[in-house]
Amino acid sequence: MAFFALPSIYSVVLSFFRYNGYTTAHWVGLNNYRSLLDAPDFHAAVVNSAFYLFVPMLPMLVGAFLLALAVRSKLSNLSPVYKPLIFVPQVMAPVAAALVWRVMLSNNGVLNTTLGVHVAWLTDPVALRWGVVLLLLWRGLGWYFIVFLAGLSGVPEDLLEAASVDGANAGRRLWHVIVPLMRPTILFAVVIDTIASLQLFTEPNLLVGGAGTTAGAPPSAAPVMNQVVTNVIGGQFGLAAAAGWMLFVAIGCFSLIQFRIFREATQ
Amino acid sequence: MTTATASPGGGPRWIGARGGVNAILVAVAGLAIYPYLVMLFGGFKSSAELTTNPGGPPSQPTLANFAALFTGPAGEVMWRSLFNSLVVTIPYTVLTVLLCAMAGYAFAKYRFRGRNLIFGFLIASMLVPIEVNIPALYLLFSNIGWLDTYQVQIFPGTASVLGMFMARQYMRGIPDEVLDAARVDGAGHWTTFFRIALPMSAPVLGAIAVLTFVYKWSDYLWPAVMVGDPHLEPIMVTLPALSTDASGFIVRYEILLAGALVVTLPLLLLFGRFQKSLISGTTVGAVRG
Repeated sequence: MAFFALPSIYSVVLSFFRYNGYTTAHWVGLNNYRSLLDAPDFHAAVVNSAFYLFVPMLPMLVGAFLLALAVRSKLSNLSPVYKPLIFVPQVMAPVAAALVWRVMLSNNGVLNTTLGVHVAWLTDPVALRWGVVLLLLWRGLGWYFIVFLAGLSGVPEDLLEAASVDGANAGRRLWHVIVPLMRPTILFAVVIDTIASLQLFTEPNLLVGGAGTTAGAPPSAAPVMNQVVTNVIGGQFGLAAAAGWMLFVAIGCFSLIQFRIFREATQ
Repeated sequence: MTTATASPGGGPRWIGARGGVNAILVAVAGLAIYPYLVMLFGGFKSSAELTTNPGGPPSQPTLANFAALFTGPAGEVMWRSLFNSLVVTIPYTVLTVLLCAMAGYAFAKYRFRGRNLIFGFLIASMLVPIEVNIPALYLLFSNIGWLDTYQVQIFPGTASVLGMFMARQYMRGIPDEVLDAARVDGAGHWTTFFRIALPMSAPVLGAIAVLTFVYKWSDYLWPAVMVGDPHLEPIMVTLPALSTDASGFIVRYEILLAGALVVTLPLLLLFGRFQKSLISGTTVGAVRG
C-alpha cells in the first residue's frame, strides 16, 4: 500500500518546491502552480487537452454504442466476423498508428487525395488537433464497441421480448429498457474515456511532432501531459509535479461530475 | 406496429433494414482495416509511387524500404532496438504472470487478516495515475541509479493489479477439494501452487501473458521518460527517428510505413492466435462496471 501511495505523496511535496534533482530544494509555496497558470504554453495545453476530451467523445461513444446494438441485433448475421475487424485498430501500437496516420494525413496522403482537398493536417495550427481526433476515433472506436457489446450481453432477451409484446417499438425499447440497464456500462465508458483523453501523450506527439525526434507536438497541439514530461526531462521536478497534480485534480473533478449526473439520471 | 427486430420472419422492411445495417457494418469494418492496408501496401512502395498512389496496392513492389531499415546505420539501430524490446518485454511478461498468479492465488485461496482490505487498496491504487507519479518515480530511479537501464524497463509495473484481479477471479473457481487432496498427499504450499493451481489456471494466465506482452511491446511513455541512452531504447522510441534522411529533417514516409509494419506484425500474429483473450481482456473492468 505504502509502495503505491508513496510516489503520489512525494509528488505533492515536490510540487511546492523548486528542485532540479541534485542541489538543495527550495520551498516556493504555490509558485509552481502560479507560474504554470501564467504560462501561455500551459493555457494552450489545457485547451488542447479539453479539445481531445470533448470533441471525439460523443461521436466515439454513440458510434460504438450503435455499432454494438447493430452487431447484437438480429439484423446482422455476421457478428463473429465484424467483432475482430472493428476491434483490430486497437491492436496497432499507438506509436505505429500515429506514424501510419502521419503518412495518411500528409499533403499527398490518402485523406487529401480521396477527399480531393488540400488540408495541411500536419502543419496548419488549426488542422493539427483535428488530425489527432481522427486518429483517436479510429483507434478508440473498437475498444468502446467491445465494452458496449459486453454490457449488452447483460440485457436479458426476454425483457426485450416482453417489451415488444407490450407494443414498445425499437426506439422505445432502446430508450426505456436497454439504455437504463446499460447505465453502469455507459458510465464506465465515459469515465475511462475522460481519464484516457486527459492522459493522452503518445498520439499527438508522434502524429504532429517534429520529424523523428522526441521534440513533441507544437504548442497548438500539445496536451497537458507534455507539461509533466518536458519538465521531468528538463529537471524541473516541482513544475512537473504541479502540472501532474492539476491534471489529476481535473480528472477527479470530471469523474465526480459524471458519477453525479448518472446517479441523478437513475433516480 | 411491427418493427424490424420483432419480425424476423421476413418481409420487405426487414430485408431493407438488414441490408442497411450490414452495409454500415461493412463500411465501418472497411475503415477500420484501411490504415492497415495503407501500411502494408506503402511498405512495399518506392518514394515516388507513394506520392502518386498513396492508398492502392503497389504497382512495382519493392523490398528496398526493408533493406534500408535493416542494413547500414539504420539497421544497427533497428536490430538493437528490436533486441532491446524483446529483452524488456519477455522478462516483464513472465514476471507479471508469475506475480499475478501468486497474488491471485493468495487472495483467492488463503484466509489472512485484512485480505479484503488489502485487495481493496490494490484496486484503489489503480486510480493513482501515472501523471502524478512520473516526477517522483523519475527522481527515485535516478537516486538508485536505475535511469538508462534495462531493469527500469523490466521491473516497475509488473505487479499489475488488473492481472491480479483476473487471476483471483479465475482461481476462485478451483475447487478447494482438489487443493486439499494434494495436501493430503503430502504436497506443501509451493508444490500445490506450482503443480496444481498454476496448470489449472493456464487459460487466465495465458490471457494475462498476451495482454501484458502487447501492452509492454507498445509502451512509449515510460521508456521515453526513463531511458535516455539510445543503446537501451526499445523500438517504439527509436522507430519515429529511423525514417528521417541524413539531414534529420525530411521524413521518408515509405520507410515509416515499412517500420510500422515490422513492429505491428508480432502484435497481429498474437491477435490472430489469441483473439478471444485479447478482446475479452479489454472488458475485464467493464463487466464489473
